[in-house]
Amino acid sequence: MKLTQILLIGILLLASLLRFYKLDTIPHGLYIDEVSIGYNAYTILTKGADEYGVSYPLFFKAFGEYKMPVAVYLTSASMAVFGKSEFAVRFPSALLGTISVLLLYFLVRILFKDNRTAIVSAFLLAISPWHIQFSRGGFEANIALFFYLLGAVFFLQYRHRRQIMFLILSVFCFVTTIYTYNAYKVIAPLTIIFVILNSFQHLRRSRNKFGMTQLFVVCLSLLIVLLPVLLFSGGNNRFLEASAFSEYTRLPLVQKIMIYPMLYFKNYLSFFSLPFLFVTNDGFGRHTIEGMGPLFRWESPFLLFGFFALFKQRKEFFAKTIWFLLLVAPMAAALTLPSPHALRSLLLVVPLTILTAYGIVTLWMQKSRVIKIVVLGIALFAVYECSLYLHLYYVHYPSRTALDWGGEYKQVILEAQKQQKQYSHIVINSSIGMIPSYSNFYDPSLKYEFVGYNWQKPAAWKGEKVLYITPEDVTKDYNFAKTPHTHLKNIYFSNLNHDTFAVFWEL
Amino acid sequence: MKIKLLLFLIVCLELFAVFQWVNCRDFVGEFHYSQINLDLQLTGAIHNDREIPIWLVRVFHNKVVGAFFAVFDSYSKFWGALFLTSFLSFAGIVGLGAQFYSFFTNKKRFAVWIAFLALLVSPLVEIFLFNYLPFAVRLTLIAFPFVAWSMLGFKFLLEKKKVNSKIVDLLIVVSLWYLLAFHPLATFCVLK
Repeated sequence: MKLTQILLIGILLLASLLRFYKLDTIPHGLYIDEVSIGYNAYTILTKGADEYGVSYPLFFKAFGEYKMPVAVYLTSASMAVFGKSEFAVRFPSALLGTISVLLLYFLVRILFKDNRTAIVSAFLLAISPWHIQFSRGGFEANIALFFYLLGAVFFLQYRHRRQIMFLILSVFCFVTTIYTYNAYKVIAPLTIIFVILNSFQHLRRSRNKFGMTQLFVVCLSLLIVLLPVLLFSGGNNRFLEASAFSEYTRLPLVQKIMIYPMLYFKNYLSFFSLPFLFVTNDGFGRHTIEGMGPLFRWESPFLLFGFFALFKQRKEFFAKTIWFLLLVAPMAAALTLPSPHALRSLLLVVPLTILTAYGIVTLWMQKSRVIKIVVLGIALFAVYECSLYLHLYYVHYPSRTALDWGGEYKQVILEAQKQQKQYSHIVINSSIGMIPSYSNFYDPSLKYEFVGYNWQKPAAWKGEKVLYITPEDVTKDYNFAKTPHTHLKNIYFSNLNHDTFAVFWEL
Repeated sequence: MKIKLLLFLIVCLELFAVFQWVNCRDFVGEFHYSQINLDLQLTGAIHNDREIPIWLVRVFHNKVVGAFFAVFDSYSKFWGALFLTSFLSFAGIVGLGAQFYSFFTNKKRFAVWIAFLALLVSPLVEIFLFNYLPFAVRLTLIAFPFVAWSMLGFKFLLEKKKVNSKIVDLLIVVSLWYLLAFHPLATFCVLK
């Protein structure tokens, strides 16, 4: 076995370890989108319909928006194997995240025609906090990234071998990204235009009429495959909610013309800020390890050097491709707020990882011993920072971001389920939040009433035992003034203060 | 002649951007190194490490690494794209990049080395000496190397005919447009 193969297997093992170890418990509980995807996947698997009873839909209605289908159907397949569990919901993302590392290796090897840069790129993606973070949750963006990388590899194969099958597969993968995550409605068409223009140029140069016809067929079939998503407008609600321009819609046209382009430009630039990339991330608990950016600090000198080294080679095809990826990756995310947003711009991890790898390899190839010593020094620091990241992820992260994930909702549902038989009614105060979605996932048979903040026990229930679940701040004197009540137990957040998430009362 | 005129316009543009900062009293706290903040961060981090061997806690949460990270974090704020568009204008960033490219690819003169060192060191003045020097002095000490470096970059671009002067015209328009439409000073400084 060659050294490259051994290294690649090692990198893949490392990638899978970092993505699968304690996958069901860290992050702490499923968040609301994972629960929604999980429940729809379960109903598809068991009833062949989504939670609203629509048979094998192409778009899944959820929280006033529509979810793309790929993640749901993949999770369905995962549930068929692992059952309805947290692990099953996260498995597709973790698995495809691991395979993405392999795809990046192939992508860089074909693109740069250099094995070293490919191996280093794969290694960097395997340990990338940005990629690990989104591979360990049921994030559609990470699944879309896998299909995007697969599409890119097929496209490069097409350039290399000139077999139309690869072009068709490539375009098919890019279209699949559109059916996976909304941001790719912007990114994928631009990529497909890049791919088709590039292929067209080559065919024109070689005067290949048969190839031209094939390309025309690809374009036509592409249009057919894209028709459903082009005609479907239900998914736009979420975009309008998150749009960066929504607060300026009432401005006069002249002001809009003045402000909109610069607002977009400002958002776009925010993705290339060193503080975002290396220090603060976007600040969302679900995306951010406190005290770390999406990239390691030690990568910064290599990234900058890689950037300049690639700029020197700017006329080469590989450089153009990386520039294209850098340019296009935050385009959709910059249309929305908040900006920067690590999830919506996840594709950015690919060009930045490749640039860093290119920087490392180019620096290492310099003849200067001093540079080699500096690189080794940074490598030592890299080992330290990677260990620190793992410490922060496995020890600090679960407790610091308990509020951002939904572990406590599961506890509430399971505890209510346990006590169900002892009570005539279970009542849950709506201030607790997204209980219905979680009960759908964890126990659809749980019977309860979801009531407003100021709910009082109705007179008709006199003499009946009621289990009432409230948030901590329900004022006993007001809510229970006329009702005899007994405190049963609390569900606590797993944070350091052990804040109370929910209180169980017997009325 | 046209090159000189363009360089003059770009200097004016960058000084216009810097001049907006007279509305500020100071940079926001993120730009400064604070021992108290570091102590608080470390205390918070250590409290999280229950049932972890003490040596491991010391390895991951200690003042040496904490201070290095804190300085790195503050230093990186000076290289944020949004900060630089606000501080120097968008054209200024292009100039900075061009000069870095020129610096790493061409023969270096002694004066350029000095400018490079001044550029790298000037944020440290703000990070460490914010309590000791007046804001106006610190602002000048940072602005001067940044503007100078950016001008060197434009000189490189225009003299070597690497870039069509029409692109520079467009850059000036976009930068001015950006500064007039958005100048998020309050994100980076404490307003007067």
